[in-house]
Amino acid sequence: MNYQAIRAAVENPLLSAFSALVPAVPVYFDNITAVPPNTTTEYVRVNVTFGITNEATLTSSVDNARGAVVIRVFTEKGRGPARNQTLLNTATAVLETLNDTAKTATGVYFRVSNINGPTFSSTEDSPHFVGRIEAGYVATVLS
Amino acid sequence: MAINGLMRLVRQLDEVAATTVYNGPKACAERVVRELQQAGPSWSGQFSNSWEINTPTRTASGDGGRGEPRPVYTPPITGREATTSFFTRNSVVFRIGNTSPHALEAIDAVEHGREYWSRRRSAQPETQLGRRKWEVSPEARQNASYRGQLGGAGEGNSTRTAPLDWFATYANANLGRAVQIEMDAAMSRLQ
Repeated sequence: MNYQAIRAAVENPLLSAFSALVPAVPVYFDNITAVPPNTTTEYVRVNVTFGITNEATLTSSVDNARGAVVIRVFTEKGRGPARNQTLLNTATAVLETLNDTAKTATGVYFRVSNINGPTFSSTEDSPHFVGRIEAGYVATVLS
Repeated sequence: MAINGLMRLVRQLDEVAATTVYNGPKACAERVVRELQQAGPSWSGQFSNSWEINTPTRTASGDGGRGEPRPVYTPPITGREATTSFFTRNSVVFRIGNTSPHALEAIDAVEHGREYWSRRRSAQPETQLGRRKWEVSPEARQNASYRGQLGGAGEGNSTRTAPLDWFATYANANLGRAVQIEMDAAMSRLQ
C-alpha cells in the first residue's frame, strides 16, 4: 500500500487549484501548522484519513484503501458566506474532476463518494468563518 | 390439513422475513454504536455513553454517565409484531445520534479557544479506553483549534483521545463494513 501516493492523488490537485486562484489561497495539509489563527487571513485545511487499508478485492494486483477527505475553508468572519462558498466551489470542482479522471494501468485510481456539506460554523473563539465539506474515498493502488 | 400446514408455513416465513427486516438493521445499529464508542474520544466517558438509537417503534439511549462505554441495546421484537408494524411501510429507518451537549466538539465540527480545551476536570482521561488512546503533544494548542488538532503554538502541551476527524473517517470508511457484517449474519440465519 502506498499511502503517500494516495495522499498525493488528492492533495496535489487541491494545492494546484487553490494556488491558481488570484490571489492564491494557502492550503495546509496534515501535520502542518496552519497560519496564526488571530489573523483574518483566509486559508484551507485538507485532512486525509485512512479507515481501511486493504479491502479484499477479486484480484491480488490491486490494493483498495478507504478513508475520508475533509476540507475546511477559513475566511474572514462577519463578511457573509459568499467568499467561503466560492472557495468551497473550487474544492468541490477538484473532487468532481477526480471522479471524471480515466482509469490508468498503474498508479492510484482515486474516487470520492458523496460530497457531504457544506456545513458552516463560526464561534466567538475563532476569527474565522469556517465552511466544511467531506467525502469518503476509495483509492485503488494499481500495480 | 395439508393446506392448513402450508398456510402456517407461509405465515411463519412471513414472520421470519419481517423479523430479519427489523433485527438485521437493529444489530447493525448496535454494532455501529459499539464501534463509534471505541473510535471516538473518551475523557469522562459522558460522550461515549450518550449515543442513542431511534428505531421505528422506540428509542434506546445511553445513560450519559461517566465511565467506560456501555453498550446500547434496542429490544428485539417478535415476527408477529414485525409483520404488523413494517409490512405496510416502504422502509424501516434506524437513526443513530448523540445527545451529549459536547457532541459537535467531539466530532471535530466546531473550533474553540485554548481555554475551552483546558477546562477539563482531571489531569488525565478518567476511562481506561481514554487512557489507552491518549496522545499528548509537547506543544500547546493554537488559540482556535478543533478537539483533535494538537500542537502548533509553542510551549505547553495538548492532548486528545481520538484523532482529528475520527467520525468522518468512521462514517465514510468503516460504517459500510459494519453494516455488511451484520446484515450478512442476519441473512445467513434466514437460510
